[in-house]
Amino acid sequence: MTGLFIGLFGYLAATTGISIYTGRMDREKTAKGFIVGNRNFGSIVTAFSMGTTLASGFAFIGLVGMGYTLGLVATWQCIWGTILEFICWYFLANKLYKLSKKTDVFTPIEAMSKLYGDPHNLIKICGGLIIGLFIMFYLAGQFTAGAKAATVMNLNPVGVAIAIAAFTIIYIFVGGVNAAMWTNAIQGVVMMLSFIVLVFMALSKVGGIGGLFASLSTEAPSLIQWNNGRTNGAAMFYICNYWLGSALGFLAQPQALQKYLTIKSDKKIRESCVMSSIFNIVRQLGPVTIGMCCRIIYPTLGDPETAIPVFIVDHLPNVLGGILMAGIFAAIMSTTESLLLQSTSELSRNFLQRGILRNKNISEKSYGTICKVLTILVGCGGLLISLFGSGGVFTMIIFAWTGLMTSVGPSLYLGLYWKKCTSQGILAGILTGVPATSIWYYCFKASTGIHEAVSVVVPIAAVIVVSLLTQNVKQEENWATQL
Amino acid sequence: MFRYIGFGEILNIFVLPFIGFACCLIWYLRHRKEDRE
Repeated sequence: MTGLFIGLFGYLAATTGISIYTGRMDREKTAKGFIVGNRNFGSIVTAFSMGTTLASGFAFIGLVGMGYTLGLVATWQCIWGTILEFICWYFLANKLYKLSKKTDVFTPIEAMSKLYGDPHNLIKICGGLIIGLFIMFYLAGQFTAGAKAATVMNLNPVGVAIAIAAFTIIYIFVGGVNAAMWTNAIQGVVMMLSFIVLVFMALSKVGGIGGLFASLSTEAPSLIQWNNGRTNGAAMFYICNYWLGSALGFLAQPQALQKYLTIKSDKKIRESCVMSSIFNIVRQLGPVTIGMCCRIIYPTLGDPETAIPVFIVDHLPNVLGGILMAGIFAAIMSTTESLLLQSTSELSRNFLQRGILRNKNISEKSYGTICKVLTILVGCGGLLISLFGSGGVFTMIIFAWTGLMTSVGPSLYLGLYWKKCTSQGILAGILTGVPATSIWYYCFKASTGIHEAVSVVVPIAAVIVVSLLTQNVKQEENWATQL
Repeated sequence: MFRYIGFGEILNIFVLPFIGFACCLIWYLRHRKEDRE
């Protein structure tokens, strides 16, 4: 067990060092320096940073549990995930990058406010506030996931949640986007190597792929069936409702879209997209395979979501195990960093600087300081929700993923590609996304059995209806046709 | 392993997870020249 801790703390020390070093690379202490840095990140850093932002603790905790309990059908997370991630890159990356370069916008919400103008700054104020605060709950879910992984190592879960929050705040506070991007990239490499090693180790314990399928065919045949033992019609509904619904968030997560604004050049976008897709496949097929193997190795595991930590503690109680265990915390911390940075950016840039404080004479350097103060406040806020919130916090992470997409996605896609879209329509989409998802999740999901992702039709309808109703309102700008 | 699985499972393991990647690769290859300039 000592070896595990040496590996784990060695990893944490290394990422802290990288954070401090990369933070010094860009000494610009303005809000711009903090949020988008020098826009000089290459395709590899962008791809891994994007991947780790989207991966979160769900990859090592939730998806492994799904592989354990559901088997082969959990590969649909990878199937939908990679297709939807490609759609996001294909339709949004180039246009957001160009818009960001031409108009000097720093965040996805600010980009939306630029498309057709933002007459009363309502897109920036409402969008910045909704996304900034909603991400805080997502953040809380990540801290809770870290605490869950820690219990397997007999560590104090509260202490681990506090440690993850403290390290994340330090990374962002010291280095802003530079530290977040570089540590995310390193964490991505650690995650990828962890999955590769763990998949080979787990398969070797069950006699390879042939042994795995032979064992599962007697243990639970539905685990190696594409339809999970359902009739074909029921299976198709299940795959489209549950798995497509779960993956729909890949279409537009603001913390991932942010990476498009920081890439070095639009010529790096497609290269980065390919690398991100490879990473996506490894981090989604890997956990499912490990989960299926653990079903054979630990047939009576109390909590299937702890399969990876239990496997590491049992089979690799040494420094290598510590580094692999660090992969779990890498997944959690990389997502937390991006979430924290995104929340801070949306609140400081859109809600404060370009929103309610736009008429105040506050210097750029002061906004840089405000960003840092907000980093501490948002990080502590997320930690408090995680520590003192009700049991619904971990559940919140699941629908926060969808809620963020429904708020940003319809307005962004329609704003960029539908010629009749207006700034009023964009605002309507932002305002209706989170409430629609929340209402469906809490009031209709249990009774209908339909995933909350279906609520995306509400913001889509809102953008279309309001845009059509405001065709006569003169728009301040029209960047969508110039990208 | 093929003794235990059918066509649907083979698709699920060897084909469908790579559709997204194939799309990315085609997109990259089609614009490789202009990206290098």
